[in-house]
Amino acid sequence: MATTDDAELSRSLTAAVRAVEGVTGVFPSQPLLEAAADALAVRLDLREPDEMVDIDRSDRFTTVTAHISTSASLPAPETVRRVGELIRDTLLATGAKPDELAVNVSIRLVEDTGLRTLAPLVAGD
Amino acid sequence: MTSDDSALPGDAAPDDDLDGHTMDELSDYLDRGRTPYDASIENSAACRLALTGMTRLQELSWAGMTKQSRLDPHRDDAWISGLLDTIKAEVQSGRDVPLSHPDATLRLALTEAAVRGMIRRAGDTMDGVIMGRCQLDGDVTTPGAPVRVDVSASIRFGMGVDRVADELRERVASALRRHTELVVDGIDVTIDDIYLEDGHGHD
Repeated sequence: MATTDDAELSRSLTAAVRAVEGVTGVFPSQPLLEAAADALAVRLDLREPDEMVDIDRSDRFTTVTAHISTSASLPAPETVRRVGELIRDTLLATGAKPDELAVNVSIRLVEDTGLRTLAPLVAGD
Repeated sequence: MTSDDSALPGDAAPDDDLDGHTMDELSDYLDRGRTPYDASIENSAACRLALTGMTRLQELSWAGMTKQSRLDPHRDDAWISGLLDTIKAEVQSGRDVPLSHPDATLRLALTEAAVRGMIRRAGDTMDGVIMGRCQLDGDVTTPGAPVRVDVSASIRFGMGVDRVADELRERVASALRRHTELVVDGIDVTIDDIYLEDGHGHD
């Protein structure tokens, strides 16, 4: 579990990643059960989904993981590189050492639009 | 769609890979125009991939076909069920498809599900084409290793099979060139079904 400082860093990174051109969403990086609990908390308005970027510190090594969706309007490799470099540069600015840092960014979905909702295409029965 | 109507043929398979949701729930959510906004669905890549595939089926009067399949289960049921099961299977993340970066600190990748999703979209956005199977054959986890793409599709009655297959092959290749670094050795396209304009009457 992230410390308070890392929770704040995760919130900051999540917001920054969402703002990267070509990024349409950030998904939970933690294991499914934890994500389900988070989703429930969000559903109950207990918490906003604002800590999607996972920060793991163990044995002086920091691993940051982000799962994103990207827009098909831009090449996915360009978008994911921008996200990776943003996270790396942010961590380095906080004092992380390059040889004790790993940044994993995974594209889970490439989609045509960044819109969160779509109009119904077919009326109900 | 009523709650009774939501018992779609494809729901026989387990839904463990949909982050706690079922195809029924996603179907109802889609019918409601994805409102009210459900964060647990919209924050799940698997659910969003499944919704994308189901949307295409909705465009083809999915509800109407489902109704018809209940009246005559031998007619369209197997076809719809097969497509839903295919969509459900494809949303599992699968293998990581690496994307290069000169800095070894960064490990960048697309999930196999994301790649399958873009292949499906490349075909589903063609007029008269409904994608079926989308598979990546080969070691997609090793940069530079040759892979083959295997897709199947259903096309509208009257369309030329060769022309559609060629266009589909080019669209898939274009999408993979734009969004991945895969070395594609070949794209195998199988047209395995023909449908009539109203969405009924599959072989």
